[in-house]
Amino acid sequence: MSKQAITLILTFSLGFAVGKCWNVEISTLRLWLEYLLYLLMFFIGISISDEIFKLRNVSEFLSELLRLTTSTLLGSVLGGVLAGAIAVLSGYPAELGFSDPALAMRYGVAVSIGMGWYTITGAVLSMRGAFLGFLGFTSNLSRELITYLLYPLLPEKLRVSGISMGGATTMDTTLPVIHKFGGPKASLLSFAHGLILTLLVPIILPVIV
Amino acid sequence: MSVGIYLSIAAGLALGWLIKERRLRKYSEACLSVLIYSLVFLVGASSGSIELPLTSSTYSALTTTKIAFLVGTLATLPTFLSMLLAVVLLGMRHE
Repeated sequence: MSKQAITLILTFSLGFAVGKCWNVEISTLRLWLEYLLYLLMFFIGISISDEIFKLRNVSEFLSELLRLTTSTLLGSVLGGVLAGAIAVLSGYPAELGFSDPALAMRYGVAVSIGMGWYTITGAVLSMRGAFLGFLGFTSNLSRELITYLLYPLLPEKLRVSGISMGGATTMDTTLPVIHKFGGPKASLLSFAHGLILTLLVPIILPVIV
Repeated sequence: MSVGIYLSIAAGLALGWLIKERRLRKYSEACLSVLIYSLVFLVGASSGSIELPLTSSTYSALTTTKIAFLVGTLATLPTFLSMLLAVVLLGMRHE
């Protein structure tokens, strides 16, 4: 494990502890986060400008982007179906909707198709019930956190495929981590990947729910 | 938020395109290295301060372990299957 990855995990843990112990308004934190993200995006823009303007093989880039986006979409759907099936086997109370196989798989896909975008998934799914909204929110938030913590630990050969982990968040919140550990070309791919998924989630999610 | 992100990245791209100095990229990388820790710290802090939107009646129907198991399955399976499929479709390589 690299020193940078350890520092990143420690920084996250420290932040988590501060958030737990210190009574900070979540809205204030989110506001700081938003402005910090804008600043980071500005610097990422400068860093990848060379890559964009030197991009010679556009068709190869688009083919990679298509494969990456397809794998994220398919992986999320498959993961949702499998998670739904596991929930059925684990025996959850019938009123939560995770006892009927067809409904459980549909709910599983509805949660996983958020692909890390927890605000929209939580909001849309809560219209179907508080518990489903809760699942949509926490599962997608966890996906973002998994990407934050695991992407830096991936071996170099998995840094491009690893972009898929972040889903729709690779356009914004997880992009700085991908940029730092994957390099400028990976961050260019990551931004485009996140952008496509961010446009797709609001279209697909209501259809499934 | 999305508009702000597009505008910020577009401003960065425009500046990088206008000023082709290598030093500018070096400075921006240095700023990124510092700012990324602030971002991760804030993400950690906001995750720590989140109060889960779950009503007490839902809690009574399930144990915390069962809820955590469901959340964990729904988070990890799509995440890792996505990466697995990407490895199959893109192969193992880095830039």
